[in-house]
Amino acid sequence: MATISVPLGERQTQSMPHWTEYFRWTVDHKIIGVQYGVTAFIFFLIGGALAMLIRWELLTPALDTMASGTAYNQLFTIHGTIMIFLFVIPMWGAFGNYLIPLQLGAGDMAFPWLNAFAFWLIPPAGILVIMGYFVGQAEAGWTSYPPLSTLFSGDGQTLWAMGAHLLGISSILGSINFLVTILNMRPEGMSLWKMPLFCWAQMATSTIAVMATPFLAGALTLLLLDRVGGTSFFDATQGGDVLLWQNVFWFYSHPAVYIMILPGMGVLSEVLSIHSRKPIFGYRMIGLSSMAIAIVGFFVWAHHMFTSLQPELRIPFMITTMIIAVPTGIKIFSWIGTLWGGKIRFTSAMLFSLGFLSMFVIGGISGVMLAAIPFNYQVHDTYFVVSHFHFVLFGGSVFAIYSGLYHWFPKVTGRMMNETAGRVHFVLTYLGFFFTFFPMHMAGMLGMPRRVAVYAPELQTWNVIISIFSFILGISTFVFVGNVIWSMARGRRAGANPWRALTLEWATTSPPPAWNFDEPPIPFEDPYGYGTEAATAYLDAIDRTFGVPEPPRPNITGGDKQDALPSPAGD
Amino acid sequence: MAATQPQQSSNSSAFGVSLISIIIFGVAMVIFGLVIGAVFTSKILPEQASEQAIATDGLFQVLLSIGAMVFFLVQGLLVISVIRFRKRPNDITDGPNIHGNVTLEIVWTIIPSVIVVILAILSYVVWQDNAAPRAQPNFVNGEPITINARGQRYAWTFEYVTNVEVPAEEASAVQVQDGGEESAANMVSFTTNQLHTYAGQNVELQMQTADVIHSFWIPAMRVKQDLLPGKETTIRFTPIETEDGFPYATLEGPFDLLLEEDGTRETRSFGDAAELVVRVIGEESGGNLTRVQLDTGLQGLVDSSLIGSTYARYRLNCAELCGGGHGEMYTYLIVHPDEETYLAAFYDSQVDAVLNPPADPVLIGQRAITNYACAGCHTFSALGWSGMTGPALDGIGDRAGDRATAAGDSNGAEYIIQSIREPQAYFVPGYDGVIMPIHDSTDDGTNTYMPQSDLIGIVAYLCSQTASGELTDSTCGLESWQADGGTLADTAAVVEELTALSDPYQE
Repeated sequence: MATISVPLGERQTQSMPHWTEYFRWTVDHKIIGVQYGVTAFIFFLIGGALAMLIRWELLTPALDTMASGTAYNQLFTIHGTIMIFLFVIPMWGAFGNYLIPLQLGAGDMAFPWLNAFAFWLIPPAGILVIMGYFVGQAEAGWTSYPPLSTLFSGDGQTLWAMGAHLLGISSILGSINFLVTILNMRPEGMSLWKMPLFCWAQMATSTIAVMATPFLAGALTLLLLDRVGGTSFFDATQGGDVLLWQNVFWFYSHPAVYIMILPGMGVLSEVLSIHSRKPIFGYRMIGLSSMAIAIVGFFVWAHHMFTSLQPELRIPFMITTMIIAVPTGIKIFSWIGTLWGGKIRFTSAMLFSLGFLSMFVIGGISGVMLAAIPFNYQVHDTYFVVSHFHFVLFGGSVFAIYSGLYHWFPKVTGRMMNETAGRVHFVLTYLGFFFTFFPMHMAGMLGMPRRVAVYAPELQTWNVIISIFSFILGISTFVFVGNVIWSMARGRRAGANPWRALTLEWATTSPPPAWNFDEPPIPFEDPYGYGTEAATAYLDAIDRTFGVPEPPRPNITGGDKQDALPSPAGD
Repeated sequence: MAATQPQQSSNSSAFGVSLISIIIFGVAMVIFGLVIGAVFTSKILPEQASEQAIATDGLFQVLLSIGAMVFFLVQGLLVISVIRFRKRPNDITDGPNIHGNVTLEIVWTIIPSVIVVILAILSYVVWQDNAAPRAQPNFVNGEPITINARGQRYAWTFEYVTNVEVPAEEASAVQVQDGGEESAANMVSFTTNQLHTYAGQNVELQMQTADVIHSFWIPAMRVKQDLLPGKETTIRFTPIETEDGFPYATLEGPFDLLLEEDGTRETRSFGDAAELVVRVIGEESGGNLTRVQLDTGLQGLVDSSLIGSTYARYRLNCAELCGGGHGEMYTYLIVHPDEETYLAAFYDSQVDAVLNPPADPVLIGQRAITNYACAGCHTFSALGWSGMTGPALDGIGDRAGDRATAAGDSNGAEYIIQSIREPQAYFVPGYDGVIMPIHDSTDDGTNTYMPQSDLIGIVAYLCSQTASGELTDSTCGLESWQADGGTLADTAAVVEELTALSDPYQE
């Protein structure tokens, strides 16, 4: 290790809590945040491994790798369930938990005990879902349409519903906590309009989660009653209706897409502004468009049902679905406006945010295409849809998650991540992602239904291309895991504010002490007010108080390059 | 610490983009969108084989062009930004302190709004036109018929209720219950595993499911509609002739196929009962031989006289997850070139088989077995089935005797009868978890109705399926089963013996 003396400020750098703390019940929001994040990432690895098996099976048009069609159906059912309920949603819980109190200059969340409880619901829920493999795993897809999921599935489906129930409760409790914290614990001088946009995004997300998730709970309760209670809500032969499930399920699950993407948009607003050293462009419009998406998002659910809904009811949902593209477009243009004229630093965090911008827009375009009913008839329930939602949830959410992890890793651990490995990770992920999911559009339009292990032989070429790149995408994950392990041990000391950011989480040591701030921090007048002398003075004051980052160490292979980082201003 | 100056003066250079560059960028964007739309629309969609497909693809071309323009706009601005505004070495200043631009923000709210409104209106117009009922639906011989599509794990069946009346003496027995009123009951009806139509026919299907949700999807037609338990749904499309024309033909045995594989030629002979669907490539050797392609991709040569009427063939998928065999739940849509060919090659012979059933139970069974959803789960090469969920039926005539012993039945025929009427009674090793419905005289949503005549025919047909493909004496342990040059010597005796085995049977 290089022995360069680090100029320290008045306060010493804190060290991370002892590792055993992370396996305990604790009410420290930062430990809970890490617990959320690590748990979610472990599920990401499991879900990713299942995806690799799916792609392996699809290398040939016949059923070969898997023992039966049912075994294949269990694969993608659990892949989808894990990625949505056990990875993306809890991962945003991790970011929210760790960052919201810090960004608001608060000591902890409004309800610390509830916070811990919400987290500890997740591991048992994950175990319930996975335990289905011992009793006949759920095989009806993550959407679990009855009657396949009621009259025709094994007991794993019951465990699946119970697991999803617990995760829903966790999500509601976490969101209530976020809302109360954001609305009540802002420091003096920080109005809603001066709040970091990540908090705005979490506020919109939590509003959706609190309003929509009870509908999931209702749908799951009916499903469980049909399965074990002898009722027939979804059994048409007994007077039930299968569309009841579809309506109630999507009334939650479409807004849930925004639960999964809005926090990512919040991350983007932070990263793009900080790493291009320029104020966010159109702050109010970005904040308001989050709320607009949250509201309009409640009126688009039936676009998932264009082939099952009463024909005349399909039109209104086509219109609302197309309208929701407008606030999303506002965000994208505002982010480009942020970049325009800035001093863009190509850090790993920034690369993933730029990757989000360029990939998410494809998901948005295919979303508008899917809203056009006549075209939807061709591609509904095909690989076109699979491609669309992976562009939104991987090209969007996962890229934002990676961006956020690179951006806030120094705050959490007190060390910088390896930038070279970060770039390798980005290039592999970006190319692997694009060439995995873009060809799926063509496969779907040409006639490949989703959720099949057996497909028309003429589609094999597309599937082989998709599978090969998906393996590259899978491998890229290990570059990230290796980078985290290396950086935890040998990463450069980050100091309090390595990115010279104005939001409050950077106005304390890295990692912050258990009580977060020694004295109530004073927020800068504008969370994105870069490019003014006042901002420079504010940032210099933080550096004087908490010390500056350890300089790059050129002797370390793959060490950080000077030009990749925002240099300390001044001298 | 004066490095970060408020750079009011440089604002204009950062945002001051000249009008010319905006125009160049805009023109490039529009050209890019139009070119992408024009070039790729037909390449990334399957054949345009219906009137609905033409309208849908026109809409898609608009969507793709606009989508490509948005893609160009965003990616272009992104690339320009990261190149032009990258941090230069040794530049430690911040960017300009700009917080927004109201005009710009209004522009990028209004323009997308207008675009999506136009797209919504356009989509509505196309949707309304495509979904509207057409004149003269399902017309055959100048009158409509009814086609009922039924989805069942994991097969499609299509019931044709024709406009041909059952002759009076046969119908009188049926008519008693409905008071002599004209109803579907006195019309000839038959069921097939493939959907037949002809170019220009306005197809309208009434669809029902027997179990879970299925979804009817023919990619070449651009139509999709779910089949919902407890509801009847409708789908409409009008097939047209495509550029490929009608390239498929069915070869009927006996015939010889000169198969080409890895440069070697090998003659393969097919027996009487064989049927092989091939794609006709073209005539060779002065028209005596025709080059054909099999579904496996192999090519071969057959005598040109074997090519009868040709048709177009499109895959018909299930698009909604319905269980383990979901991917295998497909069949084909057969589009005959015109009504005349449709009648000659399909419709008339089906009607004739109902009105004048053959005496040979094997022939009855060969036709009857396609009335049921067997194809979804069983592999059966003679009829081109490839289901994987249940045991294969190839060569069942040889194996039934052995299975009978294991299942506790007296002979192979009784074993097959039991397997159809009570599928749960005996599991073929490796196939526990049987999902096959009970086929008997009741029809209550769980069970499937199968009249005794169909049962006898299907058992006889399956007994005739030996590995060698030839009829042998006393297959399935039936005493009356005596071969006489490829057919049964005494069909009446076989029917009698099978009737006795399947009694009691309450019709």
